[in-house]
Amino acid sequence: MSRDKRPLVIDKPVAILVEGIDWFHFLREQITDGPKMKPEFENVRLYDFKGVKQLGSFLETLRKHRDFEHIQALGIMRDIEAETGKNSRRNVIATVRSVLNGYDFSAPKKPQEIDTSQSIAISYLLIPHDADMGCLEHAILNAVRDQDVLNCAQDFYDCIDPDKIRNDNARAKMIVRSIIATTHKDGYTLGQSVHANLWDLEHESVRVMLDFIRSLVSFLD
Amino acid sequence: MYLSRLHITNYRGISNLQIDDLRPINIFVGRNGAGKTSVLEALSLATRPDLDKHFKLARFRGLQYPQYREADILETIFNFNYSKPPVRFDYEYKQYDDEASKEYTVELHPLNVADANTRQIRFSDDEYTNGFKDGAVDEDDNVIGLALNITSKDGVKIEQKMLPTKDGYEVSGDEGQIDQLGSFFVEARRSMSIDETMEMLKEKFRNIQWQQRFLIQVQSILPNVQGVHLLGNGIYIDIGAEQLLPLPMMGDGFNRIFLVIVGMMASSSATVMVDEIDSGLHHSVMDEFWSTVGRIVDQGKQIFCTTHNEEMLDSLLDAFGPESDLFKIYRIDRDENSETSCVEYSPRQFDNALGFGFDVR
Repeated sequence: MSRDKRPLVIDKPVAILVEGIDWFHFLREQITDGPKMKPEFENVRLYDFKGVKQLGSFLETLRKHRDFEHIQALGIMRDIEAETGKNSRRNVIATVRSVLNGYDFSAPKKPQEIDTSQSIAISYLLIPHDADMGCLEHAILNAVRDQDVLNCAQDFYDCIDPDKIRNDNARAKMIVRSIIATTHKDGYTLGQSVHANLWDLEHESVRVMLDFIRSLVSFLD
Repeated sequence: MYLSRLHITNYRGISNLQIDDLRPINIFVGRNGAGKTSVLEALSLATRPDLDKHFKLARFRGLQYPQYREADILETIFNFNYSKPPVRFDYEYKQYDDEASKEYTVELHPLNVADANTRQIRFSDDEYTNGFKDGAVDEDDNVIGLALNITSKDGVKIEQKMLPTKDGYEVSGDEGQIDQLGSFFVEARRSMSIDETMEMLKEKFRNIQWQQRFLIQVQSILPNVQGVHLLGNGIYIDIGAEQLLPLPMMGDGFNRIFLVIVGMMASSSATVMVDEIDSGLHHSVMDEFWSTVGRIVDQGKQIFCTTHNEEMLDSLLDAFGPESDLFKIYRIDRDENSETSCVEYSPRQFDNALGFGFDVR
């Protein structure tokens, strides 16, 4: 891996770890106002741990950082897509807890519970928060404002992939991209789409992410 | 044989610091004042724990007699506090092939007048500023000498004393027989004298093959060099100009890098310590520099160095890769209570930190 920008810092008491750059920007655009953090999130810093397999390495890196002691609350957000099959949600919970324990962090038994047995509060959120399978894009599709556009995009993918060769997560990602492509802005990213009025950000399936961050902020001294 | 671990107690500003799992190449990073150079000095002392070396290391910090009294230099060793427990190093040497180890403990105590059994002479301000007389102490009865005790787990015990004489200091006591790796120390501010460098090169240059290998290594890092010549009492560099140029004319950066290469290749010491290893090194040759270091450690040398330089660390990873077991990075931290700690990064952990966008320095 090589470095291509200024190094990350630990300068806020609430560290939120998210899976992947799309997720990072989708949340970042919601908790910032231009270059500044919105006041209720000014004690929060988002970090991209890149992928589920890198979560352990990221936690290890965080713990070794000179300023790790500044962190008072740690939240992890990831989707369920990597753990397929029956009981996927249960498997993901076991995986997250195992990774946390492996790097000497305490691990709550359930998502969104906050463990305060150590010097930092720890929690995790799985997305979709109310399903057994899926990914961030499933949560976003639940919050599409224009149902006609959603139906049209779904019909289109039914048409080009009638045998459902692509898995459900890949399909959800493509439909989200298609909906973003309906805006008049070319090349919008998922993060930029936050400002395109495509999604109902107050819909519970999306709002749960900011509520998760708020719950950790409320644990500050 | 190599130095595999070191525990430092009460040396300079370090009250307690453990450094484990030392590798062939060891890089120390950390903020200014964290204690990196002190760690390097302590490592150097663990490779050859004699009193004279303590004195020389103190001089690296700029305390040169006669500007500073020799007592000032001694005081730096104890961090100006004689009431605390002695300076102590616990360290371990290991064999490269069979992992057999030897453990040593070195303790360094200050000696006052009663300890030293020398007569006490009160002296005037003028004498005070002009240095010590034979056996003299100042009116505060400060330290005038050092006692060094070395013990090993297999029963070796060595005691040495360093006391003032008319001409300076004299070391007495056991010579003792312990394993010593020795170290070649390139300090951050000054370079070794031409005379000392000459002595080492003269010996080695008798071997033409060694001379050729040396030139190849020099050229890989200092590509303008076409030849290195020992003429009379001087070292001359051929850079393709009409005349050979004396080494001192080549500039500070060139001289320092040249000295590092000499230390790694020509020194008889098994370890090389380089404070601020990036100093004077152009970024374009950093990869090649580490490749050269890699070839040298393959021959049994162990390298310890400090750096603040991001490119130097990146090139280290480029040269050896994240799965290498040749190197480790150790970050020295000092907290608000002035306690020192060491955080290790394996090449894999270092690569991960870079990939996630964090700085390990």
